[in-house]
Amino acid sequence: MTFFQDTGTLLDASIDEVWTYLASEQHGPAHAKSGRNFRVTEEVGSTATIFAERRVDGAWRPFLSRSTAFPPFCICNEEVEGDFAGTKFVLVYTPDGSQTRVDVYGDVRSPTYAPDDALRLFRQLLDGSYEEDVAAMANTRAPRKRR
Amino acid sequence: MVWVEDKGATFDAPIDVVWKYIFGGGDHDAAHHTTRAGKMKLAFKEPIILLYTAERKCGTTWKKETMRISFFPPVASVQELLDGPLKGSKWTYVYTPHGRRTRVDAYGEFRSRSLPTKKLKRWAVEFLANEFREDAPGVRAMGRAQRP
Repeated sequence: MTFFQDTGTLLDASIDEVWTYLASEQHGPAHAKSGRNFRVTEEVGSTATIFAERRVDGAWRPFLSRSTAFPPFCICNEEVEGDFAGTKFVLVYTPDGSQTRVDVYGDVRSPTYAPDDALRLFRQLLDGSYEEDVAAMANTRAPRKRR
Repeated sequence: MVWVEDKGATFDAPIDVVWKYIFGGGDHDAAHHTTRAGKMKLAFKEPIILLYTAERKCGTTWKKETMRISFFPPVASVQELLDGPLKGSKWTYVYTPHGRRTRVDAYGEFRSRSLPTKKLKRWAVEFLANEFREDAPGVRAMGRAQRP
């Protein structure tokens, strides 16, 4: 197991805007570059299991992941099948004035990659996903004056 | 609603021991003096979700509450109060190995129909600190018992 944390990232949106975006129709297509063939295989309460393919190290790779949402403050994710099966991570959202701080904590595991490679590749996936979300959120709301 | 963080507390035991304790080892339930008559029921297997009903000490009286606890070992657990005076409150504990010790960071979003914001925040900060204080000796004892 390889633990990591990435705390203090700021989203330029209020926590309400962030959660509205996460539940919106814009969220799925925001990840069209890095993922494809998204399919919800099970939805029970606030837990959704999703099958999809994503680009890992230049190749499309299938995965199954389970995500449990606790609005408005955290989402717990578990990789069930695929290159990172057994990996778990939590995204914690905290209001920070008109912005939202995101803290990520996780434990990366992989049946495919050595621990260091698995951590590097998985963090690349998270970084890419964050950047796609930031771009999509910027496109879906009115511009805001910056101080 | 108020947002509360309590970061950097450290249990004197490795993360696997902490999780054994969380799942009922070391007389976990008895460690908490502000709850009594606790009963657990498995609500869901994947992820593991328990419904925990108990009475919580509120000043000089005991009030019933139901808590849903979702476990994502070894990274986090999430607690949600489904009824009682603080219905709607949620908090998460995030666990990180720190050598032979385990750091626990708590984040919460607390709600109350009766407490004003300042009092609620003070209560929530004290609550999270007290939960840690009550767990720490039991976790340490389990850790010591399991050392080779």
